[in-house]
Amino acid sequence: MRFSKNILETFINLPTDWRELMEDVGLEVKSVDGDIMNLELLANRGDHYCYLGLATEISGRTGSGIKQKQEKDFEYKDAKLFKIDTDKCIAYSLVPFDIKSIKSANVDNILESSGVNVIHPAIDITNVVMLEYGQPAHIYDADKIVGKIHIRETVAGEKAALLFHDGMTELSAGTCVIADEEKILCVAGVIGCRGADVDKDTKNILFETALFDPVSIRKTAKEMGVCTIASQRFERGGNLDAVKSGAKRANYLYNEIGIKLNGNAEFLQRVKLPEKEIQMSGDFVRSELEIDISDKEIAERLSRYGFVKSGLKYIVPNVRVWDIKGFKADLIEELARSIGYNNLPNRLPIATIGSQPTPAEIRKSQINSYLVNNGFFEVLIDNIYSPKHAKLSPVAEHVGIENSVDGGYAFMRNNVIVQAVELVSKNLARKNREIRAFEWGKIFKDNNEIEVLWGIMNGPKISSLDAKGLLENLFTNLSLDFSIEYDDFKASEKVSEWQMLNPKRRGHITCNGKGVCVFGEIHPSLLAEFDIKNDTPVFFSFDTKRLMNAVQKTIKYESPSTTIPSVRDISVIVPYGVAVGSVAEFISKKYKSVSDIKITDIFDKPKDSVRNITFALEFAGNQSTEELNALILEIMNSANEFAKNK
Amino acid sequence: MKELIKELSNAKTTQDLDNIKSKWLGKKSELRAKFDALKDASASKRQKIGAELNTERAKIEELIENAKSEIAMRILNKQLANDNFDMTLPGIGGAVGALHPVTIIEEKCISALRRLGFVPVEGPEVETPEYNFDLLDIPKHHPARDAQDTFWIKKEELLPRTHTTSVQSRYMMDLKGDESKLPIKIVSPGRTYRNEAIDANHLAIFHQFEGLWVGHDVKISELKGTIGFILKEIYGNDIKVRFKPKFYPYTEPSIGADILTDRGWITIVGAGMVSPQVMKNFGFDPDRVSGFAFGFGTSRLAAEFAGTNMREIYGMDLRVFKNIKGVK
Repeated sequence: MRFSKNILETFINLPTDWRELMEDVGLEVKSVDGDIMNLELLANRGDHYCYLGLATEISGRTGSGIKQKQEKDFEYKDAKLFKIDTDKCIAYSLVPFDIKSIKSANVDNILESSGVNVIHPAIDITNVVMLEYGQPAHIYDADKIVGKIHIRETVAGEKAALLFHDGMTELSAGTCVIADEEKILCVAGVIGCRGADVDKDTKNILFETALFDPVSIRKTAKEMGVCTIASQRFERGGNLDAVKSGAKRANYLYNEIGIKLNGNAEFLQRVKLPEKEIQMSGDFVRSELEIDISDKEIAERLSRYGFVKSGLKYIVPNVRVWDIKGFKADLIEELARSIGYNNLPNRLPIATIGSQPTPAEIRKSQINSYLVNNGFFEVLIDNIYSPKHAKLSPVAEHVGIENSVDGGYAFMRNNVIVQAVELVSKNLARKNREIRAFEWGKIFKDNNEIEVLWGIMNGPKISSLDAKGLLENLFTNLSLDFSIEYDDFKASEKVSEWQMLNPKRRGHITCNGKGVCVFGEIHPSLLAEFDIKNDTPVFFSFDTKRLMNAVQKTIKYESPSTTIPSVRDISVIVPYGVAVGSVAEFISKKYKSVSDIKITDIFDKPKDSVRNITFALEFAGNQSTEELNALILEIMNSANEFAKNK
Repeated sequence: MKELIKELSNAKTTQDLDNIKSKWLGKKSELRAKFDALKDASASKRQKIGAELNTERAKIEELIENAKSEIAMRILNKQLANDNFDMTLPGIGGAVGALHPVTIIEEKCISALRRLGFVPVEGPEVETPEYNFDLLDIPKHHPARDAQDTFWIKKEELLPRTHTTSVQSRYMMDLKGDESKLPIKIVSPGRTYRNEAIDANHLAIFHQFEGLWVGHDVKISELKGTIGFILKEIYGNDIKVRFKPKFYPYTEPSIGADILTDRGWITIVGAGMVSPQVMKNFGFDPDRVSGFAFGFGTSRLAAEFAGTNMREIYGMDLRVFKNIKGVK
């Protein structure tokens, strides 16, 4: 909100370091343009939305006296012109004025400084009162009002002719309005209406100030989508005292431009505000703030904000009953602002024993290091996504968002594979083909939040075997027992991503008897959705909870053989459709003297529908050359026979 | 010997040396002949001549070995000189990736706060209004409820949390007002959600990092000290910190902490003493139990740390992360 520094100085003396001071008391100066300060005010401090409120806050720190504005007093009488029919109106004041001899008001500066238009002298004064005292005010053409004014709630179907709006606007039932016998004059605390508005021909006015229930104003303003300075002020809680003092300030200002009282001023308070008192001792203040401050100084500082000491208690001023809840902490906050947070002691808590990472945190750190050292970049991707993402999901059911401002945030994600492919697509579009990314995130399914760790790899030579190798090494690094299978899951283990992987190039990993991971190349149909043609990205996804809970195996150290191992190659013809792994497993199980098997070459013969696989077999035993040669021959024959007949 | 030395100096290859060795020490060498002649010498002379011949043979062997070493070194040096290997070619090895800047910032903070005994805790990202708002003294129609524009999964029933303070609500409620479980020191990093229009510096989904210390006789001075400690851990000991009033519904007093940057003072941390009402809501007597809470937007810190904007670090363009690789 914008204020004039010069005008503020007519309320209180400012020090040379005024900007630092204001920020130090919670009046954040976002920018200064000549005389105009743009302030960001605390959301709970409606009293700051005026010069008097700013001055009071500054006075709370500096102790400088506030220069009171002149008011012209009058006596209030009981209400006859109006009747309050709802508790949403706490208090109401109506003052009649004769404006036939009106002169122009010299108030352009204060209005323009805050971006308020100059309209009509009688109206301008209402805005001045609001900017000076924080009391919204409104005037009606008294001669256009029919019968008595009622402050009441609307019934269903009632319409109002809102200012700055065409036609009639229907109001919700229960909206607090100011109305005469025929029409709605004003939506209370929010916006005025046509019908009794002041114009150049107006001769008599009714000057209105009031205090409304903040929640009521807030609900109405929100429902109508209207935000005015008055509604901003009222919804943060107004000042009961200013209902009268604002009218008296207006009386002074009107008097200056030839406007005179024209009858009885009327006031009625329908709802009693809670009387808030807070009991707090000086010892409590000294203990909480850890400073040496006398009881007298405490009382004096609090009085600057309007808190009156009565015995051991402090009475909360009317202007603050909305944000002061009634705790000692409220007063501690006032004193802390008065003294300055930067002037209060600052110390670390007494030394305590540090905490250690949990096993799960350690495992996560190990996984992070492993992936990063294997070239992966961690990403954090939105886990609310668009209808387009949802449509591609392997699972149709989604948790939806009811009120998204941005259409891109329509559903909580129930999978990660779609966004993983999108990531590949976006990077390929930027000519980045070498892709390795991972994320720790959540998916949302069946009212559950499921933690997942997923990753995606892409590159000119990447295949699902790269993911397999990566994951095998990860499990080995983590000392976890695991097995890899390639068939379908049991129904209970099924994860949604499985069906979005290439059925011939995917696998799943079991650990401690539970499925923890799926991996494989992305299904061509999903790639086609993102127009990916020449790449076969590889995806993996973990059930994080199971991964974190998997129990480490006990590692037993075995000394290497003292015998220098012998290594021999054999060639096995493996028909298409026979898993090479099964041949290796056959050799390993049947020939115990083979201590290690490696595949050193794969030669595809598509014409014959076979692969020629070269296995390097390691023997750690003490066989003679002749024995070894005979054994190799036997293994080669039996492996070829196995592969042929499998 | 002079002749041998001359021959050795003329030798170019190890083959030349083999020939020289054969000539001077071989079966047809003069030295061999002298050894053969020893058998004809008298016993008294044989010992003396034998010792002289052994010395001569050792000397010859030494000269030849030395020459051999020199030639081997010469050959090796020549080979090395002719090596055309180009060390400026790229190193071979897997490329290294990087953690997300948000994770790096979180780890820094957690690491620092562990020294004070804080432990990380987690909570659900989809919350009820009770934990997200009500317990934190943000009732319906309170301006603060609107300040955190909410994605509603079901209006006033279920929402993606608007702050990680909801984790603190759950943790505190689980204590059931049992003072024997105090003090508690927790941090809750994680994703938060706001239903607002996005731009380079405003996101609908971002990360926060919040901490809570509840115990007996916890003071504002300790809140200030803890925040100063964290900021120094992140920005270094020379960082200038100032405190100022703020408003948060669940703390009282509420304060903000600014740091001085090239762009002036910027607010980094929101904090405060846990409000008495919230402490009551959690089931504790505010006259006996006190505490402080603090929080900051990890996303904003991470974007500054990475030298980019918030939107980029939540994007899918891996070039952003390659540019910050290795930054610690």
